Amino acid sequence: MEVVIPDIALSLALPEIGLAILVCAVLILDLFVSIENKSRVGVVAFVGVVILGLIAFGQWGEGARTTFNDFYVVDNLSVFVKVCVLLCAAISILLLLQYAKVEKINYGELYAMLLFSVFGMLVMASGNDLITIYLGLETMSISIYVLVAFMRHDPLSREAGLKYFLMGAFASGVLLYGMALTYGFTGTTSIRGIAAAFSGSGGAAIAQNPVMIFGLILLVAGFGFKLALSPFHMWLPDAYTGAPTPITGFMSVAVKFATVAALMRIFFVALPAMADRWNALLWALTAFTLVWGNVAAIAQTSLKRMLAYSSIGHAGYVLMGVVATMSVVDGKVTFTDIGISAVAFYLLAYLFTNLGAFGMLILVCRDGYRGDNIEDWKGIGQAHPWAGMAFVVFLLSLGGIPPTAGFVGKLYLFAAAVQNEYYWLAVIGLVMSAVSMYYYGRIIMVMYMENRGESQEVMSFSSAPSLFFALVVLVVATLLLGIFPGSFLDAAKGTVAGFI
Amino acid sequence: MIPMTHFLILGAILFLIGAMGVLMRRNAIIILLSIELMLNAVNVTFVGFSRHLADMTGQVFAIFVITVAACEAAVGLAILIALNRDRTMVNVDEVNLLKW
Repeated sequence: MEVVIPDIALSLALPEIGLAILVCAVLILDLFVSIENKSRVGVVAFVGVVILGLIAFGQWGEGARTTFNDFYVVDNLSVFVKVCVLLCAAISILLLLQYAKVEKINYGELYAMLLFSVFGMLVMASGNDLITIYLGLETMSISIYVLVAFMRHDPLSREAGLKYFLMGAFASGVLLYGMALTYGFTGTTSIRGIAAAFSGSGGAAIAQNPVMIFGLILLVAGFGFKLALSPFHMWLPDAYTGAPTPITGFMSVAVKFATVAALMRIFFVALPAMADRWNALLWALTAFTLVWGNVAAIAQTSLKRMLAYSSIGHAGYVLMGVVATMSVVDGKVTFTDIGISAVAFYLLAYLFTNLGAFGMLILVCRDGYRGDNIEDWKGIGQAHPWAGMAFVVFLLSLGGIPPTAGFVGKLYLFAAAVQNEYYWLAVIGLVMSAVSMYYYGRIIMVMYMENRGESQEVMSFSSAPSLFFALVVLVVATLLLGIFPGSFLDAAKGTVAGFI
Repeated sequence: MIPMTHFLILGAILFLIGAMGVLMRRNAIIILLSIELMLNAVNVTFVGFSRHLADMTGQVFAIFVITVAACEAAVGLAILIALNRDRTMVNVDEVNLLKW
């Protein structure tokens, strides 16, 4: 028997290989660092992630290339997602350095688990086969279950971990059943192979088969759970509230990046033959998510929980771009570039904005005091003008007010929706944007117009240099994307190259 | 030769039992077991399809699913033990500190 060794270009997977080495190095280094100095492990992880981000950036713009026997693809979209996920991880590590000390969870495993989840995300972004995507998804999810429950001494964190774990594992099962049915009908798990099976003879019959349609619904529901789209969002507020704050920021951004990349690859590349069906499902989920995420955020008294609900709303906006990628005219489906690039830009804007908003919460954390109620922020605007201004920038950007990143992102999304004639979705998005300004504006009002109560503790801000550096970068980036979006928009447009 | 539909029906029934268990039972360990049942239902489906299509990919996928399920069970039980350390409970209705 002749054994054929396939041609494997390892250099394409350089960021993943480097990251795997980095995780092992972090775990081994952890053994030699005393418990007081665990931040050094975090610094090593930070430097490693920055270097890997630069390596991933170097793969930009060279067209779609596959390796590992077509299991793995490197194209502009996956490179964009990888760079952003690594950037998000780097900033999250900076936020963690301070928070972990305050909450006494400064262990080397914290950074190692974070890097493990990043590894899963990179694999997901590059997965060109259902097996690769599933393994990436699980590596990401299982590491994040651990991270959410990492504050073992805090009952809220343990509870959040349990809830996230149970719902996440259930969602994986649902998604997996959808993948199994897709495999059964197409006879392959390769993304391109599935597309070929649908376009070949008999493909039209598969697309009409009720069992395959059921599988498609399961795929949509599985991704809906992972992205926390209403009505599959019920785990999210609890998980986000209980998790350590930097982890909340990390998972709200990075998980969206990786999951949306995998979702677009499966639906746009593998299943365009069923586009009319999944587009209708995603349309309904988008509308429902936008409304429920934003309306439920109004009722919250905890700032962290409010940001959790608002992140459901933002998942709705991201999905709006996914839906708006296709135009359906008289049942004929065509894909347009503008939706994908709008999603990419919106996620980039959301990265800086949302990490910044959670970073502000970390700024006030000190021993035994979390300051995550809206009431706690009374009168901060006068007492701490710089911190107040920074928070205002993030809140305006979340709400989509110029001159911030969120404004340009939403503008681009609405342009995509209108261009492909999703007028109702654009209207819902606009109305919910106004609703969101009500609850973001309430925090600004509390900060600037209400005086601090006599009985309230004095708010003192952390002066950790890592935290300060991270927040300055985030504020500058949020404003930069809002005022000079040009080169970032070009990058977002470039993600489409070689994708469909 | 067992026809393929039998594998699919078995898989569907197991998956349904698992999903109902997750949604209806209140004991966290039973929920964990139900999730495992769902994953194994998927494995039956994969292997059934694999046999019908005479294609090995489905069996490879099933092996991966088994591996992932083991990891998931390890993490899940660890979280449950952490939760149980200061109060004895496995009933998910009592896990109610976070509520809006």
